[in-house]
Amino acid sequence: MFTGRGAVAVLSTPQTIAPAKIIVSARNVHVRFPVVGGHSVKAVTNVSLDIRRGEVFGLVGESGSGKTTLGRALLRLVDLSEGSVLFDGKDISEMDAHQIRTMRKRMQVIFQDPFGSLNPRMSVESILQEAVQLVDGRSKTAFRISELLNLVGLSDSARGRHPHEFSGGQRQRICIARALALRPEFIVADEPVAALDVSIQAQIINLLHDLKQELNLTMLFIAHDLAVVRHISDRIGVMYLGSIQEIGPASEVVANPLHPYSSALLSAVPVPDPTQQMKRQVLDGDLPSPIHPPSGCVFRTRCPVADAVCADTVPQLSSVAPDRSVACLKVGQLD
Amino acid sequence: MNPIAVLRTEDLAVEFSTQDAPVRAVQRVSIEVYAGETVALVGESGSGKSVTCLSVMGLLPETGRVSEGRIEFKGKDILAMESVARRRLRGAAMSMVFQEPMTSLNPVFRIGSQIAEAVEVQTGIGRKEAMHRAKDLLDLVRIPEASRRLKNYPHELSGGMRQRVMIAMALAGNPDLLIADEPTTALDVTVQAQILELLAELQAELGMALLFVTHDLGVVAGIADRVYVMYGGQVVESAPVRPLFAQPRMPYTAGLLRSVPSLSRDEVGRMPTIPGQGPAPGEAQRGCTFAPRCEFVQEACRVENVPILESGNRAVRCLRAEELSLS
Repeated sequence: MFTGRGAVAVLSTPQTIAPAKIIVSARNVHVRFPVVGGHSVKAVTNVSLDIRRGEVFGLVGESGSGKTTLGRALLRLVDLSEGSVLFDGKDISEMDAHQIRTMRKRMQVIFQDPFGSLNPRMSVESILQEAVQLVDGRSKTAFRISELLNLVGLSDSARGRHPHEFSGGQRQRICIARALALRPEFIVADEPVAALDVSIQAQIINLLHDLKQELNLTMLFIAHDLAVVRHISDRIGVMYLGSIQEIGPASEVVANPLHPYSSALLSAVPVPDPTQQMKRQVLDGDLPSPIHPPSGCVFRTRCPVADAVCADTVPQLSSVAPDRSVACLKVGQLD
Repeated sequence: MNPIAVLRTEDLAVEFSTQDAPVRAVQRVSIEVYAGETVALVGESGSGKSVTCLSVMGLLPETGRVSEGRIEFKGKDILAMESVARRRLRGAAMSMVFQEPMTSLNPVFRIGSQIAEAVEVQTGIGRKEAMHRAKDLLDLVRIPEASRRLKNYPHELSGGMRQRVMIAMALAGNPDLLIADEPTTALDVTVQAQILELLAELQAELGMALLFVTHDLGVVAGIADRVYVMYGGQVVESAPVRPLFAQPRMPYTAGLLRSVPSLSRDEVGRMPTIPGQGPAPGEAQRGCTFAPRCEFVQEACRVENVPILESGNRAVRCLRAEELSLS
């Protein structure tokens, strides 16, 4: 998996992207949750990340990797312990409740569980109405609801019905319509297809893909399923135990992962072809505790190439090739 | 001559009573699993795959009952057995592993005593010996430091470890048949890889018949020798794993295979889909259950009940299977 790319030059400055093109920017973000005994869970550790306007940024990682917390931090649905988040150039980490409310209209979130995120007592019409009236006047509400239903592929007859009358896939469409009601520029989709059957999953992925094109949305797509993320994303970030280990264009990260964890993760993904079953590179052991993460590189306890240096030095995410960054001390020395 | 199947169902139908009419969750399901083979039962939610397994195990909820057909275990009709005899079979000769290892283990007992209890019940040996056997079983499922782990409570173990414990308990009675119902669905992908490897190794070592229930075609491709595809409560196609993936004969199987995102395919953007959604349980329907979503549907498909037709080691429930080329 590790192609010896000869001498990979470690560039000290990441590629410069014009600031106007960046919609969300995380700067050294830490999120810690206190637990009993004066300790804390280090959910997100020192994450810096730029999301470009119009792209789908896929965030992959296993449970406990911090991907959901990072997504919530970008929307300030959790407070940062350190660092800052800029949305369209403005620091939202310091905003007061009123300012953040105004800002949030421009950013929305879609969750995994379309059962838990819709009020069972409200009709589809009233669910959407609540959201629509925040931005559009009352007079236009009826028209806008039809427009939204049409946008997500539901018929107008859905209006009067309640969430329990819909299947999982249709319910996710209602959640998407509600998110779009506010005409957001940025959407965080947190495992939006994980609870759906394969044939329905593909329908929702296509819907998100089409909406992104039509409405010129920027999306953070969080999922544990690498194949799904690969399919919809322009770029991918791989998370492990609170930090981003690797960022790059989706096709390149998948074809040529540079971090040993990305490589192990890719190798573990089941291949839907019985003629292409390779020997998997099975990772031993379990995820370490996020309360007492390993010193140095957090992946070193399970890493096949770690040595003593990895216990002492925290690897920084640094640019190793155009548009590719990796946090590994062994990059360039691997074969 | 064929050896006797470890498990064989013939035209199995399962009904659930409701306030209105009884709902038929599974119908005309005929499957066979032989010793030493891994058979996958694949389908989406509501396809009837779990209900089929629960009826084999005799674990249907009170509202459910086998309304038609036969279930044979090593040639014996188990539906005709007395409940005591059937209970003796369950857990020992046939056992089952479920999706959620946390809810299947008792949180207030150490795992050693839970495994030992399973051993005692299934083999009748004493407590002390059962504890030794519990340690051996933990070794068998590759849990390091087994003696120490026996003293752990379930919450002290990771999800992958807990599923290993469940597998250890299922193997306590040296079963001829192990049914694994979505055993890796709740696990992370790197842990899933560990558990799949373990199940494959155990199956080869112990020579049991493994019936693996899953919705994940990637997992099927890696573990199964033969596959039954279920849709709307029926088996719609069965075949050895390679020909099934290379040349599906039922439009549903072909559509399902196309809609699985794959890392090896170099496509981005829109994905192929199957339009519409699966039938609701109990939805009265004539003809082929897949007809409302099928791109090759003809008038006859909506009218006639479609029989499953065997040819060689494959079978398909589709009126147009002969003329379609779906790969």
